[in-house]
Amino acid sequence: MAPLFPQVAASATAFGALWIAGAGTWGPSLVNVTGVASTYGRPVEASHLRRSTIASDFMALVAHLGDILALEANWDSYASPRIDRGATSAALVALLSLASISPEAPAPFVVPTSRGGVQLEWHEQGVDLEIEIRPDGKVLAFYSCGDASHELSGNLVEIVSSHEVREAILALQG
Amino acid sequence: MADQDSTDDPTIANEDPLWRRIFHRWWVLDKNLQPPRKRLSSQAFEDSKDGTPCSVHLGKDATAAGVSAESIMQRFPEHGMVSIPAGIARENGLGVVRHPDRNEPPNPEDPFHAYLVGDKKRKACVELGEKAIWLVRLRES
Repeated sequence: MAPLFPQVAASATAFGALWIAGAGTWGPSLVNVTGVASTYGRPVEASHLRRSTIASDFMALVAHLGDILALEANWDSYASPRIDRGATSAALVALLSLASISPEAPAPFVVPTSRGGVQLEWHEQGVDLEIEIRPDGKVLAFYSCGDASHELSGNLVEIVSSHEVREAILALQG
Repeated sequence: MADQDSTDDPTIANEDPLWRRIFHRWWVLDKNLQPPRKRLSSQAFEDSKDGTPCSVHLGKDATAAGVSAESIMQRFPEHGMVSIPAGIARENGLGVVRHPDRNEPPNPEDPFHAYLVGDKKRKACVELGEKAIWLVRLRES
C-alpha cells in the first residue's frame, strides 16, 4: 500500500487483499459495458446501454481495477509507468464512498492514466464527471452539466465529499 | 521531464494533422451523445507523470517523408491512432513544438515527434477527444 494514501489504506485493506491478489484473473467481464466494439461513430448496441450501478457492478469494477493494475510499463506506448497500487486502492475507496452517497450511483468507466493513476468517469444524464486519482495522492475532478463546469483539486476525502461531486452523483441518477 | 521549448511553433499550420497513439482503455461510452456512442477519454491527451507534455507525430512531415500512420502503427499492434488538426489544440490554449526523438527508449527513433504544450485544462482534453478522428482503428475484441 502506498504510504501517500494513509487515509485510504485501512479502508481498502479488506478489499485490496482480495482483488490485488487476483488482478486480472477473476471476476465477471466488463466487456458489455466497456469492451472495445464496433462503435466508431455508430450507435452502440442496446446491451451497452443497460442501467448499471456501482453496487450492481461492484465486482466487475474491482476486476477492472485489477486489470489496470496488471498493465505493464509503457502500456500507452509513450513510456507510461505501471499503474500505482495506492491510486487503485484510492479508486476503490472512492467507489465505495460514492455508492454510500446513493445506492443508485451509476457505475463509471475505469481508465488508466499516463501518469500511473486511475480515472473514474461518467457521461450520462447530461452530466460529465471525471475523478482522476494521481499516484502522488492528488485528486482532480471535472464536473460539467449544461453550460456549467467545475474543476476541483484536493485529496481524496476533500473531492469525494465536495458539494460538486455529491451533486454530480445525484444528477447522474437522472 | 524532457527538455523542450514551450513556445508554439508557427511553422506548424493550423490545418496540419497531429497523430496520437491510443490505448484501448481510453475509448469510453458517452451516453450524452445522440445517439450514444464511444469517444476518447480526456486522458488520451494528458501529460506524463514527470511533466513531459503529451506526445504526437507531425502527420504532414511524416507523410512528406513517405511514412504513413499505418506503417508507424505496425510497431504498435495493440494501439490505434487518431488525428487532430493543430488548430484545434491551439483553440484550446495549447501549443505545438517540434521535438524529434533520437532513439529515446523504449520507442525507436521518431523524427516527426512533437509535443502538445501548455496548461491542459480538462475541458480542453475533452474537446480534443471529441474532435479527433481515427486513422488506424483499435483492433476489435
